[in-house]
Amino acid sequence: MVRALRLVPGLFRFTGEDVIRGRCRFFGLTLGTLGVLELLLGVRAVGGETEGLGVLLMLGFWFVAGPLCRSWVDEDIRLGHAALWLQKPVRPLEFYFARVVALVGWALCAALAVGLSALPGFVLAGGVSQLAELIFGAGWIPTILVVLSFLGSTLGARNGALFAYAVLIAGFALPGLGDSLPVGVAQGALEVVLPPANAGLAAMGSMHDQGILEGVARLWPLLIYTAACVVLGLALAVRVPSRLAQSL
Amino acid sequence: MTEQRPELMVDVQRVRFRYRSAKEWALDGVSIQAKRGAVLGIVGPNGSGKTTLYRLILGLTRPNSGSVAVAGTAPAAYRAARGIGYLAEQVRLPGNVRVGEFADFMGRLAGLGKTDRERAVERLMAFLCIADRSGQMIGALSHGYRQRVALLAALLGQPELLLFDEPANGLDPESVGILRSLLRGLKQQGRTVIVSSHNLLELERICDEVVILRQGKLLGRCSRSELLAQPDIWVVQLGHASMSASAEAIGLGLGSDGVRLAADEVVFVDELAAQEFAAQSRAMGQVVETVDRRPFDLEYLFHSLLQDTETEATG
Repeated sequence: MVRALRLVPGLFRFTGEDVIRGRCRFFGLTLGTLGVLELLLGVRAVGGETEGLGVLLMLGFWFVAGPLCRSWVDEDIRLGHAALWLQKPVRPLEFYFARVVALVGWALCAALAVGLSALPGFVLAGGVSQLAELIFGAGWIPTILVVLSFLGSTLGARNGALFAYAVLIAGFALPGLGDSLPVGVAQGALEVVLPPANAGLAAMGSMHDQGILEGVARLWPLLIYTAACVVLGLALAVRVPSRLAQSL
Repeated sequence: MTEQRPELMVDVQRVRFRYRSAKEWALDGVSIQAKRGAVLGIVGPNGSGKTTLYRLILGLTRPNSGSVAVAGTAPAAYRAARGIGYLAEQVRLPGNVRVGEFADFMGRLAGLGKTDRERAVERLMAFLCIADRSGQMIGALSHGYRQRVALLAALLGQPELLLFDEPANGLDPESVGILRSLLRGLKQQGRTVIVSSHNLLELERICDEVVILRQGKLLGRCSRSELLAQPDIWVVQLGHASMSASAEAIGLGLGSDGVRLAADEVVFVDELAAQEFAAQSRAMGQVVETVDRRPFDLEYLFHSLLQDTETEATG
């Protein structure tokens, strides 16, 4: 564990150089667009009605968090990275654990960046405290969820990652779906099938209305999902050597 | 009490390995040993099992039967504890990272502290002539430079065992020269190197011993001293007459214990046989360009072994 933690700063930096720099245009464009849209919404918002701004902010989190995991989705890149640690005295689990920590670190940075880009809009709408609540209270949830779901998605297959991403987005959209469409009993089934983002939103609401403890109590499906993702993500470490053996 | 270091760095014993989807054995009863501090060359046509052998030595896969040991231990355990410098045939490097940043990252993975890392990176960059590329993105480098960056990555941390899979593929003469110097340097430092290449001349110049593989089987092995002790050979080079005349003449040469090196070259170990073949070829209307004597070399050994197995296979 100590050896793995020693690798974290290097991997954090390397991830920044490899992933963030490689997608800097995408990130810049997304954050810029988000900032402009939030500004427009902020101008229209009356008396601190920041619900629309909050939803947009959450979408911003999803959009920024997805490409963070590029190196986990792209088989070539992942195997390329594995071919690097393979040469050095590093155990696969150490490497993967350090990489998960480094990516979660970048996810938190992403949450802050998204929050900052939305700040002018929230200032205009007079809802700065709500923005802080979103970022520090729940904004990191979708970001980290995307990261973890990518890590754990069907042991790294590209389609699995997209599926995991779609599940999260669908979970996020679920409450709105029930309001706008007569889905009936399907709503209950979907809430079971798509717990994470739904639980995240429910927890947010509970934290706001009933207190932190009630909010945390509603987070359990999210925690189960996150734990499963982490386990699956680490299982990647077991499979990569055999994949490497076929592809080197 | 001092730690006992086995003399054999790599010990592959009667290994058989077959990929799940394949019917043929990728390696069939292969035994190879590399002594500590030696440079071992692996020669073989495409599909002969060279890369599979590397995978076994790296501990990425296990043999169906037989055993593989690195420094007396299981390959995967050795790799996790000490690291193995490995240059894959297909080098995959991150394109958006600068050469210097990448080197620093690999140094961290190798467990080097800041000062050691900086020193090692500086020294290797100077040796590989890439110091001036330190600030350049890897994705913008030519194939030769990427290969040098991959070599740098493999060398950081000073692994005792290095595996190079076709390191000279697609390299320009300058890069090949650097590679040759590097291999000599590693040998002087007492590190064990296993290198595969299609460039037989290069292997002959560098390796202490060469093993020849074909279709997963070990055809033969030859040390440098054995190679030097062999008598000279005679090369008959034919001119460009008609294809049919050439083929007929070559067939005649092969029937007289000649070995074909190329479409227009036949080699004999005996001068008389070479001269006789040249005379017969001329009588058939074939142009004989030269009959030259030259030292016994790896190229001849390789082709004669391949020809022998082909002859055996065709009965």
